Amino acid sequence: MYGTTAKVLRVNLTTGAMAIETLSEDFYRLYPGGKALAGYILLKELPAHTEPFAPENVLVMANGLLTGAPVSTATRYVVSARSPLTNGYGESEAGGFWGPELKMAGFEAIVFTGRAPQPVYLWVHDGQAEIRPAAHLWGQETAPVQETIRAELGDDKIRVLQIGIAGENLVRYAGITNDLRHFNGRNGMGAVMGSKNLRAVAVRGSQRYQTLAYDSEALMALGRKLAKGVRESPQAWDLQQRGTPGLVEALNTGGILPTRNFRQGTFENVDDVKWEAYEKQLLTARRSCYACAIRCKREVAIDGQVSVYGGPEYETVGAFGPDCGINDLHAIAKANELCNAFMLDSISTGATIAFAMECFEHGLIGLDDTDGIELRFGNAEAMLQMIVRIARRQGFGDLLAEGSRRAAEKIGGEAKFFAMQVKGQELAMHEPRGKYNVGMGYAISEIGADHLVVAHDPTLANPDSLTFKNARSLGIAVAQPPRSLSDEKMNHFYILERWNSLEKAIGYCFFGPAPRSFILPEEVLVSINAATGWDMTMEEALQIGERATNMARIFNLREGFSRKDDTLPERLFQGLENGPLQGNAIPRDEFEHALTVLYGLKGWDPETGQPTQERLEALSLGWAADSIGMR
Amino acid sequence: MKLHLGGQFSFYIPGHPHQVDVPLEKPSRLSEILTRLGIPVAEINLAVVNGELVELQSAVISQQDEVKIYPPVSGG
Repeated sequence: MYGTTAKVLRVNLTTGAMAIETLSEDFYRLYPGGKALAGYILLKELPAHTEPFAPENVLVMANGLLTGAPVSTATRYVVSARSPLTNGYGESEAGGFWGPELKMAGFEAIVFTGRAPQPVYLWVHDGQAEIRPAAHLWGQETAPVQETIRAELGDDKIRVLQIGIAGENLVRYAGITNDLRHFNGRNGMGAVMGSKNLRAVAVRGSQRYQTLAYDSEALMALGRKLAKGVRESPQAWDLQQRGTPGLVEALNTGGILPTRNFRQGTFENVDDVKWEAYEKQLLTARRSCYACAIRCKREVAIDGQVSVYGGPEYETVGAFGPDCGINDLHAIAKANELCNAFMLDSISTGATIAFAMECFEHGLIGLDDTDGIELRFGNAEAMLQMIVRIARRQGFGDLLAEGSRRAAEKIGGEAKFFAMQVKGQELAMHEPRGKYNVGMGYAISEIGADHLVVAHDPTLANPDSLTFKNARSLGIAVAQPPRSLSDEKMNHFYILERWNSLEKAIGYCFFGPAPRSFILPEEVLVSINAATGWDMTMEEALQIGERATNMARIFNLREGFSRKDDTLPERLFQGLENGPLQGNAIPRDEFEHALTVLYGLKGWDPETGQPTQERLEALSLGWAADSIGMR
Repeated sequence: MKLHLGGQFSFYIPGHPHQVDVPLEKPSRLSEILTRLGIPVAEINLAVVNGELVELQSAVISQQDEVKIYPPVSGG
């Protein structure tokens, strides 16, 4: 088989036993890595109702088919397990260098089971693997741990994936970092690693993707074309110039910059946190992921020192800035550094602090609860203190480490209304009252509120735009306004979710392919077939995405999730407090109708949200029906 | 008029400035001004004139006006 090492490393952390499994080509064509492979393994091997922190939870790290290919943005790997934040299907993707290095070391995926008796890390190199002690790394920040591992293994080019003290302390939204600058932030996958006493996975390999590819010349030619395309594409150019922090001003102008825990859509101090301020106060350089010509990553200096943790992304600026009512970029950069040193998801951390600030301002909690900290909107010092408390589970931080849903249940009263979460995961920094399919994505996503389920609505609102034209080959035919929940809009959703889910299976970043960016759907298909020698059609490729989504869905159904969980925080059905969309709310009846229409397109039962047997068979998932008692 | 180029719109102007001064002899349609500058109006999601959101196709601009344009943005 071409295009893949086809090797999965299995590690039982309880016993220390390891084994290597080789995947067949027929299997891999249906489940070609990433979300698809991880979903298959979780559904097949993780017993229903396994506690997320139990040794029996299965933790999968899986490359996509094209991860490590010499093609811009094909860098992603997924980490999956049952999520301690949502109790459902857990998943988080990251780019960087670790995924490509794992492939160079000879493996597509690592599957961890059990719990190591003592802290350990795994060392993987050129087809070999070794479990090594990590007691001396436990309790340390991420930067010194990376340095120590590289030093003791004698190679400073080793790629280190690791958790921080937040994962060790089982903070329910602890993340995972690789190279200190790339993050599997969401869903608490770092806490699952922590529960297994697994601090890090260090990898080094000497293989090159070109030696795996069926037609390496075609793949290289595509890689060169796309590198040139980055320079010629306005969207990719902007990602390179400003990176994601460039979004702040445009979102604010449109009235969709989440502000003060999603009460408002515009921030009066936006000039203090927008790109021009970031560029002037923080920026030192631009960085890339493996073989990617876009270079959307920022390097920053704080107090004159270049941070080893990179600069805050848009989500981090949004969560610790406007969502907490804070206009201090220096404090936001500091918050980013703390999250990355302790390895917390910056979205859930910022959103949970914003939730607590609103509870404080409404008198639901007071100084006695917050360790004497004035946890009000705009208080940057309080925000920074709370991040440390969360990571260490100290004082009030111990409650916030549980996430906003659990904290709200404990606080009681109106607090539930202030928890901006779906299925337990906090909303990312995108206001759905101005882009309804983003709201539908938050509601229906198997991992809880996720902003990368479909391309955001404005990209497909103008039929003459480049972004719309580039999506035509996916089947997008009629432009739709952002604030619509029409049947055609749900058709957009269905098509785009299949497409995004495919990206998560084969390793492409959201910032590569159209319609968000510049790589045409046809070029993605060329890359799959050049890598593998297959004759895959667009429909077969899109089915990979739909198959992966359905496996995650079945996983959740098995855990008791149903249509009632595909909803939004109550606040979003009420009007925004300010800005050009002041008073605008998601229309509840239209939302419920649209959900039914979308279930129909997905082949799901309108009452239960359960995939029909017919749709499962069409997706070669007949076997999965058993796990939800369908036959 | 003063034109602020949000998002990717700097890409279309030589030297890629964040902002340009565009001399106007008489009030003109914003869409026509932008087209003359080589900016594809189909890519514009929001247009703001003197702090107010406007309809791109109908907005008429005078020399003293301050205009900001933004593309659709998503993800991060």
